[in-house]
Order: sequence, then structure tokens, then C-alpha cells
Amino acid sequence: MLWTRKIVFYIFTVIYLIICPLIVARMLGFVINPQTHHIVKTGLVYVSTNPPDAAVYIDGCLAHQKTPTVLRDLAPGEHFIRIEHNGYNDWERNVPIVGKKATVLANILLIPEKWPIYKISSRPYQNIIFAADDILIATNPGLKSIDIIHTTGGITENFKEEHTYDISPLFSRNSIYASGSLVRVFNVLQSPFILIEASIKDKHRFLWVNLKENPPLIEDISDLFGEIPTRVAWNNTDNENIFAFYPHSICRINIKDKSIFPQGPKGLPEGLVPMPNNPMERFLINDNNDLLIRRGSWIRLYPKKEFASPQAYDIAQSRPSTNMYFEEKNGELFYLDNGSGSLCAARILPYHPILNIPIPESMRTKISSNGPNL
Amino acid sequence: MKFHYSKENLKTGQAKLQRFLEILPGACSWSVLLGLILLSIFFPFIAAILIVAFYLSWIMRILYSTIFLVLSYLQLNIEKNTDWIGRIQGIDRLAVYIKEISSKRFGRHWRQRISHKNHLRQLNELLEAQVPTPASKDIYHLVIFPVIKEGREIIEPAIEAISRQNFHLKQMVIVFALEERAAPTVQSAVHDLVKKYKNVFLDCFAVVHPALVPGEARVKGANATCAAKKAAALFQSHHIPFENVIISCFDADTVVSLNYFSCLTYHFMVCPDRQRASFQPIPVYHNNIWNVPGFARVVETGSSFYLLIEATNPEKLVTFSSHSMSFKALVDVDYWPVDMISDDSAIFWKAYIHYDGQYQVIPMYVTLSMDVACANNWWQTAKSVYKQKQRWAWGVENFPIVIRAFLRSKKIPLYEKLRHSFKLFEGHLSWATSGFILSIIGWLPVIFARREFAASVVYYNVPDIVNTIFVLGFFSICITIVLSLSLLPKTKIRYRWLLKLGHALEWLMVPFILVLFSALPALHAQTRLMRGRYLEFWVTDKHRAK
Repeated sequence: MLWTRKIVFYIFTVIYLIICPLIVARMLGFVINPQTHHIVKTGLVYVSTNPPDAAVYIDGCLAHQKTPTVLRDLAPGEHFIRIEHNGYNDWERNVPIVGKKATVLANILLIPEKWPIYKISSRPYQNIIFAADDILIATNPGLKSIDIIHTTGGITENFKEEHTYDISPLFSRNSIYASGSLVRVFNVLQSPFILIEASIKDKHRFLWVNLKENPPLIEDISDLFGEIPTRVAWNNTDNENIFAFYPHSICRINIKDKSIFPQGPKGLPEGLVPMPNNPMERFLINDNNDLLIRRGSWIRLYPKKEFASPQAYDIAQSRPSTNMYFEEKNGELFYLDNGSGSLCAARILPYHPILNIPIPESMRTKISSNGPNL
Repeated sequence: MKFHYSKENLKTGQAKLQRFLEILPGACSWSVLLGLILLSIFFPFIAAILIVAFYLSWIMRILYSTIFLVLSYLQLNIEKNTDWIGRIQGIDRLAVYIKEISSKRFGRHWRQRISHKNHLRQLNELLEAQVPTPASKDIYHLVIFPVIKEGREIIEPAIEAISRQNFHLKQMVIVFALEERAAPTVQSAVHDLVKKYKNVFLDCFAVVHPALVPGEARVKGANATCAAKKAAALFQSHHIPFENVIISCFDADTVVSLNYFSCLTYHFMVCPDRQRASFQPIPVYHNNIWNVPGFARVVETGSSFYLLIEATNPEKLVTFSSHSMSFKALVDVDYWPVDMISDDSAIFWKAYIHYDGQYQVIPMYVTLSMDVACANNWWQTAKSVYKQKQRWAWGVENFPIVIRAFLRSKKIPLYEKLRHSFKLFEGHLSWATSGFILSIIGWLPVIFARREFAASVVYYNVPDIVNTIFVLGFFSICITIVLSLSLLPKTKIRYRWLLKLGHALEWLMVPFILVLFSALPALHAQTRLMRGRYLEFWVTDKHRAK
């Protein structure tokens, strides 16, 4: 047994001494070129797509694995990569490979042959407003025509799971406010409250709406406003205080106690960010790799532009000067159709993007806050 | 070589060297761990290369160990039904016996043939050595059971197992090494057992070890030494030469297999240099294996397997736990160290140094069963297992003493010194670090990957290489599971297969066990030694279901 042990020990030691440097060299990207028999530095490409399971061709050869995948042992230089997926346009690029380096093509958004667009409501709307917790408010001049839309459905890796939309009127027919007309809506991002300024029987009324309740709780707080404010804002973590901005003063209004406090501009709380006056025109999506942008009435997608000239894809036409909203939880874009004014949803991301890959900045698409150069 | 095998009462120069060597293992272990962590953060390339090289060496070691685990297990099976008594009687008339068995084909089964071949080889070696062999009727066994807090339910099965041996019981002396500070109930249980078994053996008595003896620490070795000295006086009074006595120092829970002493006697007789040898059986922890939490089962089965693997390499084998040795050697080396916790391995090193390297450990393919550390509840058992492993890892206390002895010795060959020093040092270093590197630190380069590292091929290649290595590791674990299941004792419960399936799944805890019950206690022990906070002997909790 002792001799057997010694022999096996020496065999294993020799094997280790041979394979360890080979594996380390392989790990560093060194391989032997079968044609020249020289040791060459190689690079690799990491490819992940949205949706996954796309076939990858490199220089015309099909890779063994579908996306996400790593293509190894690539000689330095340009390689032509084509990605194919049923129901989506092919993605093709010349990708430069550098020895010992990894080229990262993460979260390539594959463009569908036809964008899946769903009409959520056939009723025309004037605009849409976004509140927290998957709630959309579709507005119209008449208060009785304002609807609340709850987007429901489980959050899964695959966004293809059907979502349903519950639509209900904000004001019931019997409501004393139903006959009024909408003047303005004040809202704050990620806040379940909205403030509706309405004209009811020729009088200005301010209605504080708690959307967390079902049906929504509506409270007339008109008495708390001395005059018509230029704007109203509140902190989305504070459910009690709102700030009314008048031409010459600011007041803090406590909704719960129905009390008013004069407020200096210096004492305003942090995070009091009013919604922008202009409708939201652009969204960075897919782990910040792609840009959804509206130019005129067209909503367009600009995919990553690395290794190729930028190309825009038209998604749909929306009603000008209305809001559009991208819901990250289910990868859908909400907008009002340009022709009919009805509320529509376009599924942009078929899957959740793969996050947390420490992709070097140099490998990422450079999308400035102003969008790509057009 | 005359050598004071202790860390106490050293001259200034030796004391400084001792202290430096005490710091060395812990400092190296911490340097490896912290160095790899820092490299993973600041130089992930280098860390990844080192870690992959380590993983490769680890998998080679695992596969290598698996081969010898299987071979050792087969050897254990081969010798399972050996008629040791018949062989002993044969050796009593050696020349005739060799002729008899050489001429006939032995056994139909391949196991019997291999066993026979080994037997014949050992007999020929004995014959060639031309050393007189004591007759089996002149060989005596001294068994010492150190007792401090073990109850009757623990000790009695151990002595009962000896009383059922197929060796002559009147050639056996049982000594209970009882600590003076043991509880009265424990003391009375021991005295009851002495009364019960007094006439079964040549003698059976208890020796009470005083609580406070100058120069002694509160360790098992001091207790066993006190008992062995009393036993020596007994043998002298009976005119039994120490050369014919084999001493076995067993933990109180040690239940020997039926043919343990006949097997031991055989190995003692066939070993030409029997006065300079220890005899190491395979300890298994089956006494209460089905009554302990799963993790404890896996930990102890792993310990048994480690010994099975080590048994295939007698050149590097060091005594562990319950074992046996020549009583003359024990007396020559002045008994066990009385101030060290790791008396089981220390006695080997003490003898190895005393005989200038002319001392060996003979593996015996026979099992003795002990208790798995077990307390009243899961958490206490975990603590108990942890402390037991820490005590085992405290064997690192031998390193500074052995190195000091090697530096002084001129008779031990340099190669042997280097071989043993490396094994001792590397063994403790990898014990304290491997688990952490495999389970935690190995992932750090990828976790701490900064952008330049994430843009390299290494970042993408490391996980693939590591996965392949772990798949090979899993293959090895599967073999271990199969062997573990076949070694386990039969149980009388209804759904035995369900229990076995559960045990197989328990092996999936290996990554956690590696860290919590192997690397962590070892690092803890080395850190204590490094800081000079010496461990006190802690008696493992042992409970059995009634």
C-alpha cells in the first residue's frame, strides 16, 4: 500500500504540475493556435439579451449556448456577431475583440418584428397622471370622466405573464363633485395622494384624494386655501402636510388638523420636488442601456449604440403634450394614442434586465442625459 | 535522544525559540487568509490565479485521498472476518506455520486471498528479521480508561466489550484512571465496575489521580501516567517483563470490536521492531451516531475517513485518539506528557524523538467505536463538537516542541526531519485555512471585482473553472457518501432507508462544516497558541439514548 501511495502521489504531483500552469494560462486567455501552433492571447465576448435564449452566431458559426453566454477563445480583431430570436429582428454588429479582455454586450434589447400594443380603454382621455403603487389617473375635462387604472399582476422574470387593468371612475355618478370640471391636478412622484383643483358650480374647489383607499377617499379642503395657489407640492413621505405656493407667500397646510401655517422659503423640507410642468419625454430603460424618447408625436427607442451607428425604432404615436409613463415593474409604456386618445400600453421589455454585472464604463453605451446625437 | 518534551522549565534561548515556534503556525494561517482577502480586493488578478491554483491542488488532493479511502475501506473489509486467534497460534510455531500456509491456496474469495497474501508477507518479514517473538501466552494487555465525568452508562459498555473479547481475558489488566476531582457518583460507578470485573481479568483496579500535583496540568496524560505507573508496579510484582505488555489507552467511551485484542496481539507479534511501535486502529463514532444531530454525524464520519486515508501511509502516520503501544516504549519515554492536552499524538512524537526517529505507527484494519460529542440540545452539541475539534486542533502545540527537538537531534536523518516538519506544519496550516478559502475567500475576487477586473477574460473564466473543480469534488463526496452509508451501524428502526437517505443528504452540509467545525476551531486553537493563551483540557460531553 505504501508503494502504491507513493506512486499515485508522484503521478498526481506530475499531473498537477502540468495542468495547473495550463489552466491558469487558459484562464488568462492564452491558447494554442491549432494552425500556427503558437501561443496566442485571446479575448471573449459576454452576450446577454432581453429576451434571453437568443441564438448567437459569431463569424457565421452558431455558438453552443443561447444567451446569456460567453464566447471564448476569440482572436483579437473584429468579429461579426449576429443574434437571432423568433419574433424579433436580428441584431448584427462588428465587435472588436482585444486579447485578455472581455467585451461585454449586456442586456441587448431585441426589437420585436411588431411591438405588442394593447388598448387598455376605448374612452378618449385628455392626459394621464402617475401615482404610486401601479395607479394611473386618466383625466378628462369633466370630473365624472376621470378614471383610475390599477395595473395588477405578479412580478415575474418573464413580463409576458398577462397583466390586467382595473378601470374605475374616480367620482361616482352620485358624487356631489361629478358635475364639476377639472382645472388642474397636483401630484408628487411616488405619492398615493393627488390634489384636484376643480370648478364646481362656478366655484373653485380643492379636493384631496387618497388613492390608497378603495374607493378613493375624497376630501374637500378648499377652506384651507386663502387664494388660488400657483402650485402645490408635498413630500411623498409625509402624509399630513402640503405646501401651497401663492404669488407672494408660502403656506404649510396640515391636512389632518385642518390648520394653516405661514412658511418662509428657507424652512421648506428637503425632497419637496414638484412635478415638472412639461410632460415626461424620456426614460432610460433596460438597466440604463436604452432610451425611450418622444420626438413630436412619435415615441422612439434608441438601443445601445456601441459598435454601430445609432438607429431609432418607432414604437407608437402619442397625443402631443400628454404624459407617457414607463412602468419598470412590468416593462410597459403607457401613453395616449394620438388618433383616438385612448389609453394604450406597449410592452417594451419582455424580461427583467440582468443587473449587477460590473460592466466597465468603457463598455457601456454612452447615453447622455440629453439622449443620443440624432 | 534525551529530550525534555515540554514547553515548561526551558532555558532562556529555548524558551524564546519555543515562543517563536508557537507563534509561527497561527501567524502563517492568518497571513494566508488576510493576504488572500487583501489580494482579492486590491489585486484580484493575482488572487484569482492563486485561488485557482489552490482549488486545483485541493481537488487533486481530494481525488488522491478518495482513491486511498476506497482502498483503505476495502482493506478494512478484507480483514473483517480474519481469524486473528488462529494466526496468533500459528506464529507461536512460526517456521512450521509458514510452510503450512505457503503450500495451500487460501480461501475462495478474493478478499481471503489478499488477506492471506498480506499475512504471508508479514510472516516472511518476521522470519527474515530473525528477532525472537514472544509466545502469545506470554503477551499481556494493559488497558487504561481515564475517567473524570463519564457515567456508568458510558463506561460499562466499554469494559463489557473487552470482557467479550476472543483473546484470553486472564492476560488482560484493566485500570480505571480516576481523577480525584471526579464526582462521587462517577467514583462509586467505577468502584462498582471494579468489583464486578475484578475476577474476569488478570486484574481490574482503579487508580485515583490526585487533583493537584506539582508540575502537572489538568490533562488526561497526567491521569493516564499515574495509572500506568501503578500498573508497571503490578507487572513487576508478577514478574511480567514490560517487553511483553501492550498498553492501550482508551477514552472511557471506547467500545472495541470483538477481535480487537487478538488483532492487536497479531500485529504486535509480526512487527519485528515491536518495542518501538504504536498500533493505530480505525476509530469510528458509532456508539450514539443515530442520536446526534446530522452535522455531528458528518463531522465524525469525516474524522474516521481521515484516519482511514492516513492508515494507508504508515510513514507519516501519527497516533490519534484511542490507540495501543508497547508498554516498554511507554516506560522508556517516561510515559505520556503530563502538561499537554494532545497526549495521543504527543506520545508518538515523544517516542519518535526518544528513539532518534526509530519509531513507527502500525495501522490496524480493525475498528473501535466511540461516542460522537453530544449534549442535551442542538446548540450545546454544536458547542461541544466545536470544542472537541478545537482540542484536536490543539495538537499544534506539538509543533514547536518537535521542531526544537529536530533542531537538537543529530541522529534523526535530515530528510525525515524535513518530511515530518513539513507534514506537521502544512497539516495544521491547511486545516485552519482550506475551509475558509474554499467556502468564502475563493469567491472574493469575483465579489470585489472592480471594473478593470470585470473587463478581463479572467473574470469570466474563473467561475467556469471553479464549477468544474467543484463538480469533481462532488464526485468525491458521492463516493464518501456511499462508503459512509456502508460503514454505519445497523439500526432497528422501521424506515432505515429513510434514515440513510437523510444521512446522505447531510453531506451537503460539508461547506458549512468545513468552516464551522474544522477551519474555525483550528484557527481558534492556533490563535490561542500564538497569543500564549494555552488551552485547558475540556472533557467532551457524551450522552446516549437509553
